[in-house]
Amino acid sequence: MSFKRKFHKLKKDPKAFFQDTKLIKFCSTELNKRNTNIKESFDNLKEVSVSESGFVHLPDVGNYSEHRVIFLFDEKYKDFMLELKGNLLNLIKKERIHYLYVKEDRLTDMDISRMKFNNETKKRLVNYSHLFVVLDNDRFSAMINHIYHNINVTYIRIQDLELSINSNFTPNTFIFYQQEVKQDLVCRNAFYARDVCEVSLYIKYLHDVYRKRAMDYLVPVISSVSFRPELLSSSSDVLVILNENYKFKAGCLTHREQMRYLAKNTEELFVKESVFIKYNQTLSIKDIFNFYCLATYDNLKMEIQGL
Amino acid sequence: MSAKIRILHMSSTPIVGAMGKLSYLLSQNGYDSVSLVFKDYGADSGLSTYFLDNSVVYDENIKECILDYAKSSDIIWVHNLIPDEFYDILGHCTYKSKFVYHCHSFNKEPPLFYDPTHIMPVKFCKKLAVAQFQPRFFQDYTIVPNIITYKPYLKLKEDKELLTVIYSPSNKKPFTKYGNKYSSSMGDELKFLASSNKIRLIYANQVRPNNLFALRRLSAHVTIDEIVSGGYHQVSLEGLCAGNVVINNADFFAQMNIKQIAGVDEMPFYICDESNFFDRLNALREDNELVRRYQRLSYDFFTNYLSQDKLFAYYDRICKQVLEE
Repeated sequence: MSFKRKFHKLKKDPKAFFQDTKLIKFCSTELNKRNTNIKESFDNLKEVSVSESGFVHLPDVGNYSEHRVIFLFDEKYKDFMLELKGNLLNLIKKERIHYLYVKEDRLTDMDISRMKFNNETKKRLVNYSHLFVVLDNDRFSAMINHIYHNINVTYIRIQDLELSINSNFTPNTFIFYQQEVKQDLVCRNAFYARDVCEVSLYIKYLHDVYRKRAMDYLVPVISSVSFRPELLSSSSDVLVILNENYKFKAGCLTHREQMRYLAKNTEELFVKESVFIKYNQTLSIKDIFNFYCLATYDNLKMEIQGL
Repeated sequence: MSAKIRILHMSSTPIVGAMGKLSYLLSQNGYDSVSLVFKDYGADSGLSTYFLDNSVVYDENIKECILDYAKSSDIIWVHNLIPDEFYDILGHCTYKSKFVYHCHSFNKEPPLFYDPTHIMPVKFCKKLAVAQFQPRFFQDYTIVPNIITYKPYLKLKEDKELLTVIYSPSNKKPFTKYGNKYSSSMGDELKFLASSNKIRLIYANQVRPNNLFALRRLSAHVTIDEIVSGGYHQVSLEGLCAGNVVINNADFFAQMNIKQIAGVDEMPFYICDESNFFDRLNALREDNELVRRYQRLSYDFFTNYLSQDKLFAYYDRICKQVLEE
């Protein structure tokens, strides 16, 4: 029986589904295969809570707070989940299920290889404390999470957000990005962004509001465009894009001579905002050569593209 | 017949043989060169006598002889730091001598950093920095290569052979960012692969340099330098010479220095970092053709760009520039 068909069984008869331990074992094995990094022990589990909406949440497992066990079910299963609450803990401990993510609208598309039962799901549901940015797709999630790691930004689909709010999770602020939003969510200190640039601006603003550490994303020093969202995936302090004429220069050179040559062939330059502030004296007058000398001396993480 | 150009190299320590090799290379190619070490590594270092093949160790018995040599030297070539006793020798040098300063690995990096030439009582007409990470800090120094005097060798991996990896971290407790040569995660992954017979690991610690190269040349297919600092070291060059796949994590600027010397756009390093080391090594393990391709690239690169005649030409140009100043 395929995984998809097994979940059809859940849809059809959830109670029987959970009473069938073989079935559960199979499902959890399937899920865990795709989450081989998660190896925590469930021995310390003490309780499990089930919200009114059927959102099942287990508290931290030992020190592995990032590996909370989440069961997310569609609302239609809530009575059944509440009924099963007592048995569920034993079931989870015995079968060592990490999480199941079952929603009505996903059951028709239960191709497990394409479903991301991985960090994204986990993060989305665990890091709920601060900002939620609602996207129309998840293509920017890794990127923005990396850049804004210091303020706990979490991306979430709007339907998941509604569910989490209904489950007593109260995020401080939402930023909606190209989404149709319900009025009651908008009331909760929400922003509506038209593009990624605005998302960044709002996050920066919210950071100031919450007095977190400084935002630090790449800003252009030399560039034909004011913002290139795809470059935000860079983890570097400095991103240099060289022109097509650049070739490594041979000869008995010094580092400064190399940097002069590099500066001469720089097409675009992006630096983190903190870098821009620190090296403002050279960057504000676009003295790229001296900036490169300083940046290499100070060991900034520099990414060079366009070779 | 014109007299040979005379060069006296001086250093506190053998600098793991780098100074001696340079002196040897110049001597082999028409220069009259002597490498003078103030003191060998101590017995407790485990490196005592390992790096003295091409150098003499200073003592009172040779003081006069060295003074005479210094007086008649065209170039006094100071490597890293020298002790006060050597300043006396510098004081005896005639106006004829030109001074060159050559920076190798250094125990200080920014922010705890200084340019040692500022405290030396001579004026250097040329300052050199080894083409690894050093040029970032010694930015006005001319970039020069380290020298490998071994004969290049290529023994391609056979299909039936277990991938053999040699790893010889000389420094587990780094005192500087670029002095770090050890990654605990990589160490664990290597041990795991070795214990499950996926690879053969040669963990070489305090092996004589000649023996270490013999292991690299005769037994290993892969040389691991280090993957934590973004730089590369002498080990990588020896790996290229031995026709090994060379694993390091040399960044753009580290590679730029050696590319500048070689005059090439590509380095044959097999770049890994801590996050992908396991997967990248496994990719090698599972693909003999990939191993052989990198082995050939290493060997070809070394013979084409880092052979003794190529590196001599580089240093010869430096020496001529010094003498013309």
